[in-house]
Amino acid sequence: MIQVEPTGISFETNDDETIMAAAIRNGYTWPTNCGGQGTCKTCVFMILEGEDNLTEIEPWEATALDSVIDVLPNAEKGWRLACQAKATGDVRLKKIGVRQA
Amino acid sequence: MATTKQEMDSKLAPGEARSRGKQIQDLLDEETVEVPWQLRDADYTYLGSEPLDRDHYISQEWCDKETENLWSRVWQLACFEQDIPEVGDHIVYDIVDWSFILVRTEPDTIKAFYNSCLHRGRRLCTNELEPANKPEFRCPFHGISWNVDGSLKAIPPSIEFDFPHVDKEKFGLPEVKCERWDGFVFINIDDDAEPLMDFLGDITKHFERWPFANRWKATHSAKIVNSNWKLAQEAFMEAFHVLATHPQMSIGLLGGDGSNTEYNIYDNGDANWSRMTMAPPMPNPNLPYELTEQELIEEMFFRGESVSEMGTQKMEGSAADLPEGMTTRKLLADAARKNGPKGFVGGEPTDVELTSAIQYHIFPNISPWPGPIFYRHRPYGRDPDKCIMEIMMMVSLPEGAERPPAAKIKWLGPDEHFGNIFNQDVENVAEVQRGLKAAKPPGGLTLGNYQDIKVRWHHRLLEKWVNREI
Repeated sequence: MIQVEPTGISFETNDDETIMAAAIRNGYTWPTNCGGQGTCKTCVFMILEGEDNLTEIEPWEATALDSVIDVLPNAEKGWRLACQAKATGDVRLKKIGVRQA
Repeated sequence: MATTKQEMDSKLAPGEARSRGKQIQDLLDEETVEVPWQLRDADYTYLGSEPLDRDHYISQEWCDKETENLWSRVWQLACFEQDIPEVGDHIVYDIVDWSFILVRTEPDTIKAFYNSCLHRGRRLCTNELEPANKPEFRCPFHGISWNVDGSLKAIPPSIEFDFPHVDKEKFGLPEVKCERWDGFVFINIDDDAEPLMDFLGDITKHFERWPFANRWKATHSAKIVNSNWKLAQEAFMEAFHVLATHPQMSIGLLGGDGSNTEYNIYDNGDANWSRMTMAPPMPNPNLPYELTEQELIEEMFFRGESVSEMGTQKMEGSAADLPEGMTTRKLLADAARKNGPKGFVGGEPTDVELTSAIQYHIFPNISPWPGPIFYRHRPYGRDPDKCIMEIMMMVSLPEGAERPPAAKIKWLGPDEHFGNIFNQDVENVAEVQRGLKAAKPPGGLTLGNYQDIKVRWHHRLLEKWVNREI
């Protein structure tokens, strides 16, 4: 299950479904400019718990994260793009702008 | 998602379409103080959609044409008055193959001389890095010297016998045309050039609102950049590259992506100046749903700062404590007001002036802002693949404050950077320069009708100068 702070919204993801796609399928908004292509970085979220339950970072996402990491607030457990990352278990994260569509 | 003007009316003529969301003029409608007329003077003219010739950037022939037809005839910024505050102070200005000495000859007189000895042609002043005060210009080659007013001072007695043909009264250093505006010192190599104020036109009236004469040049950095001079300055002629190039700006992209920037050209593109106004942080109009101001403020506090070309501002607090109806730009404007904004003439500063990057451009190569940032871009000799990029901070001082000495130029090495945002631009334009050469001929460039209008305006004027239509 994915739990999004500060709203506390939670939803399940299907196999092979990105966190952003799952949120939208469950009727929630998720900020994006590029529509999930991994280019705009608008969907980036802070990991609060469950970092081991996220799929590995592919090179494309790594490059995108690398370009913004210097200007993001410090995050003990890191940052991921919601349009690329998939969950294999419970994850708690922080993302502003996620709410009922 | 908000609807664009284009989507509402598919019959719009080319150049009439605008991005989603509020435009700068909409924001001005919401101001609570009087809006200066300068911000309402917001002309735009569609100048066609023809491809832009890539030779303007990469061709040696074009570069030489610019030297012969542009730099030899156009008004160009040589220095600031404050660079040479005392009589005898002088500074060197180099452009392509030329070199000039700018010198204060009397308390309110500045002259410019060709920096070349009349004997064998050596550069008289070689120290272009910083202003100097010496009682004379003495050629290091054979020692002939000139007074700071350009008149001959002395031919050394040991060699004077060999110059009986020299009329000492007429052996002064040749002058180059030099005129001033608002603390700027311009030169023009063409003796028949129109007066500077005619060349500048109405931009001088615009800057009555944000005068330069009393500002302080607090910093001055220069760097040799691996791109044509026009490419480097075009990084500051459109703002829709922010989304891809500067993702750290505009509050995590929840707060605008540069798409609703206003672009202005004047006199149907014939004026020698232009402007763009980058919208302040507001809910990004390009998200697939409407973000609220509350969410944007939450994001700003979460990130702990607001990053823009106006600088990085630390943001601390809680969105829950803010009054209802508070907007991000109001929050940033109020924070700026607490610092006592300076440099505004004729009325209180508007929110737009306090939170937007308003960037003017004077053809061919300087960019004065109402805010402190100032750019100049010069060719690097006759090399079309390199340029000299300069960034200065022109700070408005409190009324009555004494101006500290102007900063001397600081050259950055290949591994030194202007700063995070600027470095992204510098890296980008170097790749554009390479990519332009890599394009399949003829390699014409496809510009946006509205958002690239300053780029098109600049090249259109440049072509007129190069073709001697001006």
